[in-house]
Amino acid sequence: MSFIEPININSNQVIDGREIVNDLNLEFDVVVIGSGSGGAMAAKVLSDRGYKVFIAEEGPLKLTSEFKMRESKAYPELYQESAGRLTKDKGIKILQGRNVGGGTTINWTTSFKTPKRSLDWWIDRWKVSGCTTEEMLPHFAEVEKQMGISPWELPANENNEVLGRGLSKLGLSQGSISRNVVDCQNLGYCGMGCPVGAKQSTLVSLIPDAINNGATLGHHLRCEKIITKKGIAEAVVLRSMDKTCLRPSSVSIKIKAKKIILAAGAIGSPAILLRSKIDDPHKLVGKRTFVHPVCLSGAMMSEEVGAWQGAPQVIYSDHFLETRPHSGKIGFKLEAAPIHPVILASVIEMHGEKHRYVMENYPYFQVVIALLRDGFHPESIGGEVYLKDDGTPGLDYKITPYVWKGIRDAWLASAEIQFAAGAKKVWPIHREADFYNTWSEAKASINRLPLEILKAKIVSAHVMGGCAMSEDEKLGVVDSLGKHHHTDNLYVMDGSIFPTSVATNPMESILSFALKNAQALKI
Amino acid sequence: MIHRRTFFKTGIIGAALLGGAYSITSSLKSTPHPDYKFFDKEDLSIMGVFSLVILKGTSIKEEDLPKLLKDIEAAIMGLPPLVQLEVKELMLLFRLRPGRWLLGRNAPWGEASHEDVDAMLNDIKFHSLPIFRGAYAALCELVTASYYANSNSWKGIGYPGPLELSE
Ligand SMILES: Cc1cc2nc3c(=O)[nH]c(=O)nc-3n(C[C@H](O)[C@H](O)[C@H](O)COP(=O)(O)OP(=O)(O)OC[C@H]3O[C@@H](n4cnc5c(N)ncnc54)[C@H](O)[C@@H]3O)c2cc1C
Ligand code: SF4
Repeated sequence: MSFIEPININSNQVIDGREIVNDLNLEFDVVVIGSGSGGAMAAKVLSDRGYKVFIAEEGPLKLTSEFKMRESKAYPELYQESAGRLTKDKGIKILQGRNVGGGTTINWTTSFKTPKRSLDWWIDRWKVSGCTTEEMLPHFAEVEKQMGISPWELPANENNEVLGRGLSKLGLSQGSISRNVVDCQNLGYCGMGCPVGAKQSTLVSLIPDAINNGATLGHHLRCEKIITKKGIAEAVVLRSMDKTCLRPSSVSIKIKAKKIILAAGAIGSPAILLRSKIDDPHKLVGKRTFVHPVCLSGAMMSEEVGAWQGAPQVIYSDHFLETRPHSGKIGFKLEAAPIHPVILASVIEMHGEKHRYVMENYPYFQVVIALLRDGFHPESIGGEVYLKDDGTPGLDYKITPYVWKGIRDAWLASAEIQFAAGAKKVWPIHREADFYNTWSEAKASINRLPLEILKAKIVSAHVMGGCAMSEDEKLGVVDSLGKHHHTDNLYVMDGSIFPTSVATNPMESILSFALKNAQALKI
Repeated sequence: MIHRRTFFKTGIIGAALLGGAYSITSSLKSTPHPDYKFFDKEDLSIMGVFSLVILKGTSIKEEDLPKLLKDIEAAIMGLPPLVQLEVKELMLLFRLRPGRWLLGRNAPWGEASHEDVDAMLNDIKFHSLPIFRGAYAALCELVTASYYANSNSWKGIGYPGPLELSE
């Protein structure tokens, strides 16, 4: 098996920030900050259109041949804060990518179009235009073609099968997941960087396309701020980063550009706007940041599950989204989650023999996750991006009672599904919960679990919002095409433009909106 | 005398201590142990005994500690500078007298019996103050993640490790 790396690191279109020793001034048509879903798509489309594009990425450039399926390597190299980013009160663990490819290098390849219900809600409540399902369909189709998104044909791994079996037994709706892969070897290590280049992350697709079109990629380059003059964005200031990508040097690279596109992700982009003190008369920047809070339910099965192998997510259920109107209880999507030793060891938050008991049963352990649809109800307002003392960003996200109730519902639903699928024991991942032997025992106990952070384990791999789109400048930071309402030549094209959470795994939505808005951008 | 529990509940000392009030103390500036970049001697003795208790039931032995502590340190060095400072503050909770008092202990934690460490961990795991529960999460995560990142631990949990890819 050999894979031809589509990026030539020796090309003069690939710049390593660490090698820049003197301040630099450059000029491009477009500078794109961030190389994940949104940034890579914007760079590809604009370079296709013949513009001179510079992509600035704070993380490292790691190639397919460097992906070794080792958590010890992948988390510090490819994730924000070594996969240990936490919300301000430490209640939610946030997983985000930090490398050329952003989240797409390490995500689980689960691909969904934006749900009609979310699009309609944005049009109706948030005054977004041009995004009815009919208007979006050609963009989804184009993204699916470019990213190799197609239905997964191989059998599901046992981790997913358990979810599917439980759903069938209970008569709950389920579907199979499309994935952005070509010649996938079904290894199950998508979260550590696909070692065979099967996953169509932007690292092996859109970024090389953009470079072939003439774009320049700079890695180890953090955007510190945007320079504006009289309400017009003129340039960005980048800092070269050290080898760990944690500490900026004093070397600054100033890039003047006709258009500046922020795509640093839904924590990174609002942070750049805040650091740059960009006009924000309605105090919207960084507010209403959503995370699809995720709670987890572990099951001990009698047969081996081996949740480390095979395509990570191939079966899902939207039953609890479809049966719950936005005005009612918070809805949630159910999926399986791949489990590797470090992730398992750290999410279970135990010590001593209890911890060891779970670890020793690792091969039999199955996990169902519920992703809650935050942002569609007055009692779910999301979190707020803020700047820490050194200017780096944080997220302050308080889980409201309305959301907590949904978390309890989700533990209940997951446990019932896992027992229906034949689980011997089920354990909602909560410090005060036990391994329950029957559904009735689980139900009674889950109903008594205290709804508190740092007791319930809550995680997120989907950060969205904080620079919402709206035609009404009182509701959104950017317009429906991603243009900043108060600063000319400044655009946002990543997960931060959504007025609520997407209510499904967001990659395809981010790619599709970036495609649409980059095509519409007038230079 | 004010009962320890009352202090836990009012949380003033606990929050002040962990929230950075002591961040300029000399302990923060202590020189790392010559073989380490982050931990000094006292940190190492504390993390050593905590690790043995957190990993009870595994095959961890005293002689495995230097390698494990190095791995824990490497994990800390992969965190942003401000988060590294928080880890320093976490260490202070266990080192400084007010923190030890809050956790009901006079003598250094590095000299504690495994039973005492286990009791303290159970106390902070379910504590009424989230800040202590956060300390529990941080300790357990640093230790267990570092231990299970090492392929030597995989056999004991039935993880075959990644497949070898042919070239
Ligand atoms: C483990 C994991 C699994 C996931 N699985 C799925 C899945 O299966 N399906 C799905 O749909 N979604 C999944 N997601 C989510 C999805 O990958 C992200 O939502 C999506 O990639 C976000 O796109 P983005 O463009 O907003 O930002 P990102 O992809 O996060 O890209 C932003 C980039 O900007 C860089 N950056 C940040 N600040 C700066 C700065 N100041 N200067 C320069 N660069 C900066 C970052 O390093 C990063 O590389 C997963 C995420 C994770 C972490
Ligand atoms: S499952 Fe497929 S896409 Fe994921 S890492 Fe394995 S080969 Fe790559």
